[in-house]
Amino acid sequence: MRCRAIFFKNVNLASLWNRGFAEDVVDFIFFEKELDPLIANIHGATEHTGRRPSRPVPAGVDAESGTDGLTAIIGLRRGMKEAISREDYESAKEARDAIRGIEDAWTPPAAKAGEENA
Amino acid sequence: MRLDTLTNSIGEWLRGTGPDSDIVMSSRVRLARNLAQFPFVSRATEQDRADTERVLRERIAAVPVGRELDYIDVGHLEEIDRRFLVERQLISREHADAQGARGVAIDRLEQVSLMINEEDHLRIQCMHSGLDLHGAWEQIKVVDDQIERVVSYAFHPRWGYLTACPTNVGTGIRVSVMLHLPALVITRQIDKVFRSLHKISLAVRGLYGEGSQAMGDFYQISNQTTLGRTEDELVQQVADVVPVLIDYERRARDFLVRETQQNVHDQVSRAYGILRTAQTISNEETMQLLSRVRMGVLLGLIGDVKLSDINSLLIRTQPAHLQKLRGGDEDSSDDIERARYLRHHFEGGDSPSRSTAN
Repeated sequence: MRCRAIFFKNVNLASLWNRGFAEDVVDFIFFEKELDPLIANIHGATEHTGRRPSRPVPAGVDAESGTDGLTAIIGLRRGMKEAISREDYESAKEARDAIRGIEDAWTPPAAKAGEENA
Repeated sequence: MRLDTLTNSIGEWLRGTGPDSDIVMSSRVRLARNLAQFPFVSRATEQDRADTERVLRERIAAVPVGRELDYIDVGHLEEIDRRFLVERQLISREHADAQGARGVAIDRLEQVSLMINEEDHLRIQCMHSGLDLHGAWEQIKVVDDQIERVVSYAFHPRWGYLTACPTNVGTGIRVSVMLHLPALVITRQIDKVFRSLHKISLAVRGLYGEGSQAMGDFYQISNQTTLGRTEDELVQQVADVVPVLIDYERRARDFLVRETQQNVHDQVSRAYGILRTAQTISNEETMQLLSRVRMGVLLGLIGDVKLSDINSLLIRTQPAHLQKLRGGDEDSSDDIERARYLRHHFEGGDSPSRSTAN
């Protein structure tokens, strides 16, 4: 189903999901309570019981929620964009380096091996 | 990959093989996935989309997914080529019409298709001929596992795989079958069947999926929910209902043959006659008539046409295919060219290049 018009209590939930809450993946965590009724309304359930990523939790990411790294990286990306827009290139560079550090920690070993061999 | 080479072949899913392929044209499973480090496509900047496309393209190329894949840069294709891929069900209409960096990786049999920057960063699909949902599911698991080795998917511990649309969150899986149900349409039982499907949370769509109209008595049946059940359970949910629909359609065909044989034979013969002789014919009429002829072949009312030929014509008479087969002849309209192609085909010529010889 495409996100065009899913109405619940006269609110276009698809629009809410796309524009109001879920701008980035991390928003799912910030707005978990608000989004739970939406998910329950669509699926009749709020607990995923299917497959899960089998890779180990990367360094810098909270093992319980898996979200700390996400929070950091998305905040840094926003900060970098803002720094660029105000021509604060030193701050932008710091944010970029920090993003690279987290992304490096996230990159699965198989992808790193591929990049080194390339 | 040169798309022109595809015009002379048909995808594996159109070969009319596999279990119950008289009624089940194809079985499809697709997974929606997103990369953790990039915003969703709907919120991404041009640079984000380009970065997502590059990361996925490079990493998919670096892992074995069980098939050799060719990558097509959809963002730089002409509109006719994008339509051509839609008609072959290798990309969605939304992917064709989108903006920015995007692509698709496909295998030579056209069973596996990986759309990059569709509604989600990655849409993986596997299509098999006939009723083979479990085969498609086993194949897509391999592809998903291999890609997951080299990317970090966006995953929520409680909600599962995060997707751009809440209707796909959780497993991100859409399990569907494309069914040919002419007898249920003729006997006017189709609406009753669809109402029953809605009651058990299954969706009914047209030939090209979401938002498309049913043409030629072809329908896609798929799961509606993606969270709260495992992938195996969702595959089984669709797999369980298909034999029931097959049984309904077979009974309706038996009824037609038993009770109204002359009438059915007449409908099939007229359809075959028009396809062989028309001077101009629309896409919609062609689909409708091919549907009747397909039923006639399966009921033994037409003996000299192969099922795979009819399946192939369903795709080759679509507008973008016709335009590519026409090879740049702009003098005739689609409807005239379609009729010419059909006449030539039923006269015994299969070569696309000969379609313009008449």
